[in-house]
Amino acid sequence: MSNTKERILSRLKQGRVFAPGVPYQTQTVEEAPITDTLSTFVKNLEAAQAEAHQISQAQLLDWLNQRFKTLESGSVWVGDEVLEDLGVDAKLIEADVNIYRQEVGTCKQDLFERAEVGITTAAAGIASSGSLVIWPSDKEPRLLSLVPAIHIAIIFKAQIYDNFSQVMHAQHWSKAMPSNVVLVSGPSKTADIEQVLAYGVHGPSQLITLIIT
Amino acid sequence: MNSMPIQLSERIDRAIDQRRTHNSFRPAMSFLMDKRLAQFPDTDHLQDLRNRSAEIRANAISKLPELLEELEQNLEKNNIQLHWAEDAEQANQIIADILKQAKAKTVVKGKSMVSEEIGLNEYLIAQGIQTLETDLGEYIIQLAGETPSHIVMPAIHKNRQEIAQLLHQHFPEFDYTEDVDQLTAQARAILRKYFQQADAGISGVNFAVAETGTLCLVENEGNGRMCTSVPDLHIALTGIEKVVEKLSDVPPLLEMLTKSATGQSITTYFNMISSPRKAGEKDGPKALHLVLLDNGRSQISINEQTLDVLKCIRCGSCINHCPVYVQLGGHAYGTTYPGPIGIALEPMKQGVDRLGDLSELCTLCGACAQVCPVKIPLPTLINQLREDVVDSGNTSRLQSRIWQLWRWVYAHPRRYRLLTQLLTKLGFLTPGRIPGWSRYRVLQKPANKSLSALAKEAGFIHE
Repeated sequence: MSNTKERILSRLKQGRVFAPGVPYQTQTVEEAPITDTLSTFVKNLEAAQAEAHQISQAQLLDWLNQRFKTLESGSVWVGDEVLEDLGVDAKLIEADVNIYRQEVGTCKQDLFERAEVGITTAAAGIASSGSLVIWPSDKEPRLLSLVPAIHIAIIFKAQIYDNFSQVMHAQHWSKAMPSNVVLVSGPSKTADIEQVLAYGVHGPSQLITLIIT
Repeated sequence: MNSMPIQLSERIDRAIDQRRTHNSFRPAMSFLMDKRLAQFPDTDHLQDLRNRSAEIRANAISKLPELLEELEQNLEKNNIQLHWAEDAEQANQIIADILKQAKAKTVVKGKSMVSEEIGLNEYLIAQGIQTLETDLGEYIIQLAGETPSHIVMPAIHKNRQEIAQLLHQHFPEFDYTEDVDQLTAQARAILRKYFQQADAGISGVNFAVAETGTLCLVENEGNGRMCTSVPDLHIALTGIEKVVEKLSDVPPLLEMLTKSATGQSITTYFNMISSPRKAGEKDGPKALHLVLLDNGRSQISINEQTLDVLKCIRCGSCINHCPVYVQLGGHAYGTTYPGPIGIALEPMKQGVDRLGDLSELCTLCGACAQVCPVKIPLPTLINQLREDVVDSGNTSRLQSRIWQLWRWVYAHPRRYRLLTQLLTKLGFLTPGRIPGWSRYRVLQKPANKSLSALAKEAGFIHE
């Protein structure tokens, strides 16, 4: 196996004779500044058929309960201590709430077959593309934002940046990347059938962004 | 040896016949071209963006051996197991071995052109490992037993009636429908069970970041996330040229990739994977492998002229803008990568003797070079291929004779004038058809006066 590696690398090094001194990081591109980050963020999310609502932290519990009235029979899944950190008492939620704190092997069937809503926080928002940075952790497992048909993402207004490069820089991503980070920019979609847009293919069919102002 | 071997001309005939009875590629290509254009309203700004992404990729290719070693070190730190594969056979074996060791019987796959290149699905299925495509377009063509006809929209050659029939034929328990939303819902229900139960997920990689050991993956459907997050085992597969140096290289390249490919400012999901499940995490794969494939790429890098082709980020823009591709579709090329990038890349990998005739599928219009987000000089490379084909003696005697005759006439002013007079005076003798040539072309009759005669009459002075 290391023989293969050596052969490949030595062929590549032969090619190096032709490519010394190739410029790097010399090209800067002027981006038009975004005048209103928040409304650009909302506009781009909505253009991708996602919902975006601005509410205060105090309104969060009521907003969720109002929304859960329209649920079918399924359950709401959320990470460990996430609701408490947001000042919401899980026991006051008028739906069947599951805290995703066990290893996926023991709850996969429930997650796939009964979970109707997954609630996560977002580590950042990107206005220029209407994207949410979902940064899973041991408290907030990955599948929360993927398996249930409805994904509710909660973000604080101050975490919304203009563009992706800014987020990476401000949050020092290159110092430590998590096992998985995903930029989510709308409900799942495809145009594979005659280029006609259809939503809810494999990922969530609804993306709801709650911006805490 | 013919300049156009039987198989290629047969594939072309078939493609054009199908187009007559079928849907053409025109609406789909126009759709993609328009969407891309809408993302770049400012031409100067577009050139700045192209210069920046070309520089990022050129830098990476110029340092490829060092960056691959840096990538390896960081992958190791992150607990991602790296495997080097010389060719298709080795890559297939490596992947099959990983799966067998993990006792994996069912695999769900995201879209990966590299996996098409090595014939991974056929290999694994022959080894008794159920391998299921999960990208809707790829799933459709897997059901149909076909190969992709486009690198970004693999089922672009299928209309909804064909898709409806396919689904109903394989899953008669679902009602026959041609409604796109219902078809999509059916596919979601079918594939969801597989995601839930699969032993392993296989994916491609759009960018591999050397600085952090991160694998990046774009997608709209969520099947990529499913394949890389649900099963206990994830195997990623990509070519050695997909490395970029720094994490900060990713946002500019991502923007150019999605805007060029489908006219989106970003895809629904952009995954950045840096390790398997960490201690304390509840889900994600327990084991993560990356297979790096050479398969002729390192050989391409040896030549200063050809190494530009390794900058490709597989956006498909060149394909969408190609006037030949729109007439033929991807299958006519007979290669994994069709269109301009295929004509440039595939003969480099498989040899001029085998694939030199692909150079005939190009009019050198230059549209591809204008849209390539990383500024690969495709017409230059294709022209070089033409030279290589002639130099290697792979053109037909007839073609060589015709070009010799052409040169004999056009290099001598008197012969040229004589020919012009003959053509304009005796134009009525032009035949209605020439066997072969006029099968797909309308034969034009020469005008009564040549352009230079008209110009003289109009008083233009020869400069």
